[in-house]
Amino acid sequence: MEFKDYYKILGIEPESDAKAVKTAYRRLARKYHPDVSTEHEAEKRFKEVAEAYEVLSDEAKRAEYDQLRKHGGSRSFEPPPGWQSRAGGSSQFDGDGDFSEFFESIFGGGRFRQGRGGGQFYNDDFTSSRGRDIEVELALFLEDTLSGESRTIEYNLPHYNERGRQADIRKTLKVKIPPGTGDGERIRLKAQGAPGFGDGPAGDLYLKIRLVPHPLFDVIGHDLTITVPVAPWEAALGGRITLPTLTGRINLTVAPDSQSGQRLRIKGHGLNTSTGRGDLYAILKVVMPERGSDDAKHLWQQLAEQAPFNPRREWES
Amino acid sequence: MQTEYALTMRFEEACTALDMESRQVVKIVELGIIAPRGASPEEWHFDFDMISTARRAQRLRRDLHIDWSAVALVLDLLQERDRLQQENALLKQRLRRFLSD
Repeated sequence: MEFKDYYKILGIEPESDAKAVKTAYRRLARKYHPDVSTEHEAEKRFKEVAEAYEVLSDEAKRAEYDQLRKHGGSRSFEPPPGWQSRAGGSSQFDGDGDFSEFFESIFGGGRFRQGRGGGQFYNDDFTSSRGRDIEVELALFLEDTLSGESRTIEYNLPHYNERGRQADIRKTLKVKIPPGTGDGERIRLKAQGAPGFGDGPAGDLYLKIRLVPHPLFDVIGHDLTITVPVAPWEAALGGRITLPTLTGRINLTVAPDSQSGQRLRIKGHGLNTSTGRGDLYAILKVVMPERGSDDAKHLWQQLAEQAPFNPRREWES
Repeated sequence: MQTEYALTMRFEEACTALDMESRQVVKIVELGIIAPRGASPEEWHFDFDMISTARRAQRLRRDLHIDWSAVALVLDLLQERDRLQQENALLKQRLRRFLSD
């Protein structure tokens, strides 16, 4: 496996003192922390930085690491035969026990290391503890939120036995999304998370709802908006047009002398709320026809002469 | 398969879910990091967004080496940033519809 240069990862010299290590870690942690960062591959980088700090901030671990580093840090690294770490032990990081293969080969000592988080306790004897909570994203089309049908979701469930963590189990679940659940909201499914240890209960599953952007409609809370192209004469003269909605086409009456950008409210054609349904707002957008016939040009000319209208009146004073 | 939906949880359950001492949970409520409804811990109701936020707060404190007060500020700023990003995305989308072809 590849040798990890923890000093390089933190951007410090191998002779750096503990204070320098800490400062380097804090700076990079702020930069790459997944909860805060907008950097590319932030989570991956943060894990690297955290692991480097885990080793270099601990005197015993750092000493062992420096020793191994001296004897050749190259691409093909293997810990010396019979290597047994004395420094490997408690970790200050709650992560999902997600240290690299490199780290485990030096400090893991073949001992099962529990992940921690969401109610799970780190201990060496696996007495009862609550399983980890799991969060899964569920993408929904706008139409799906109206149907009220159950959805099937799939996710990975961690699996443990006496020998440690095994391959994840693929779990399938049928869920009903409560009406009115909005974009970014979470639904909690009790005890559908990671299994507990001993007599401990399983953690929970959190379903985060993500509404897929619709080609026609924009979502604002429980309302929808749609931009409706209309011809200049349709805005001037008014009329009836058909409009798509999430549940079929409807008729819309445009009043004469309508303006571009005008909003028309159509009640009850938005998304479901917990008590009913939001509204659909049609926004008129006057669009010009492309190059017209000579006859059409002639009519426009007449209109220009007969209808006194200066759209730039405000500029002239 | 019938799954049980729980809409909120109470104080004790929240402490367990967060793996935090009751004292600490009280502290983050006092700082306004989360705002469960109810006048006292016995009456508090926590929803999942609150649990998720509290977890985020824990990670920030642990990983960035900052105290709870700083965490509270960071979370406020992150929330505002997320809200602005969402609003920005929505406005861009609506503008695109109006300006396109």
